[in-house]
Amino acid sequence: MAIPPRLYTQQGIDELISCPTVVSEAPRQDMKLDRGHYRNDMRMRSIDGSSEFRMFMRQNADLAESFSVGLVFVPQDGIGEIVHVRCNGPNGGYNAEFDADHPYWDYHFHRASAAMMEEGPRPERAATPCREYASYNEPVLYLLKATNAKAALPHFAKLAQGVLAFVPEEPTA
Amino acid sequence: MTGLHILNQQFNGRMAIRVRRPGVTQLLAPLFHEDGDMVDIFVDEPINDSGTVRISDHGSTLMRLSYTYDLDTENRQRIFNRILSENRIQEQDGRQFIDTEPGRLYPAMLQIAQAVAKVSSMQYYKREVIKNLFYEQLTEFIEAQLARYNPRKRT
Repeated sequence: MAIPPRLYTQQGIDELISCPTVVSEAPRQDMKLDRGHYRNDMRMRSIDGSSEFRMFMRQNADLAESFSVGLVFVPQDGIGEIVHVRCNGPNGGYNAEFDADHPYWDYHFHRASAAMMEEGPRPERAATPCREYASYNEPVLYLLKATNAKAALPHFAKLAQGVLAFVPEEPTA
Repeated sequence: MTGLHILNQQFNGRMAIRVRRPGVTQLLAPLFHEDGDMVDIFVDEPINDSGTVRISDHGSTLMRLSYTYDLDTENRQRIFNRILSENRIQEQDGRQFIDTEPGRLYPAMLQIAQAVAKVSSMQYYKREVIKNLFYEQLTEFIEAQLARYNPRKRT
């Protein structure tokens, strides 16, 4: 039988975003190439077991600066998943003719709002520029900390330790 | 690329371009996804002397769709293929594209934008939505076809 849809307040959304979580399905060690983008996924649940979440990590294979790392709430009321937070890279530019204020040209951050849900558009539609990250690796760690998913940090040891993207070389001198 | 200037004229001057890579130019037109981000459309310069240019999403549509929906079943893949073929869009390794002459950039851009919107809408086929539709249809069927048994909703 269908569960009646839940009503969301901003406080409720904020609490869900920041509730401490544990990893229920670990991410892969490395991103996997899948039809034009690299991807990784992880599942989490709140410590009290009442809420489930998904974290997605995506990076465009052609345009590395185009990435998105997000936290998705997986409710059980049948209305479908809700993207709570999404950290994006700069996606090209803005057009002052119609879109001068959109932070799409810069690293930006989407966060779900109850007002937006009430109004009708996607909860996370609004976005603001973000200076907390400037490459793909950083928003993963940023999001884990911002969403209180610190228990997941050991699964991203390579990112956390800042492993260099090239083969280390022995000193020759 | 003169085609881009023609395209901007056809957009009444309300389009902008940004060079993202050598030979890859992004078109900034008033086309948005429901999540607030701009639709990513690129024009790739011709590699050979064919004269045709490629309008492509460089894989951004499937990447965006994959935040909440995966083409991981035969049915989903079939619907995706159908959207592409009905909109005359080609696909290679997740990148949707259409090859066209520079003078026909405007209709080609709208064509790919439509396909991007339709593919992005596949998220509405999510399991939860289908499940709710199933319950609605089941209720409808019971009320219409089994009325003689006087069915009542559990309260």
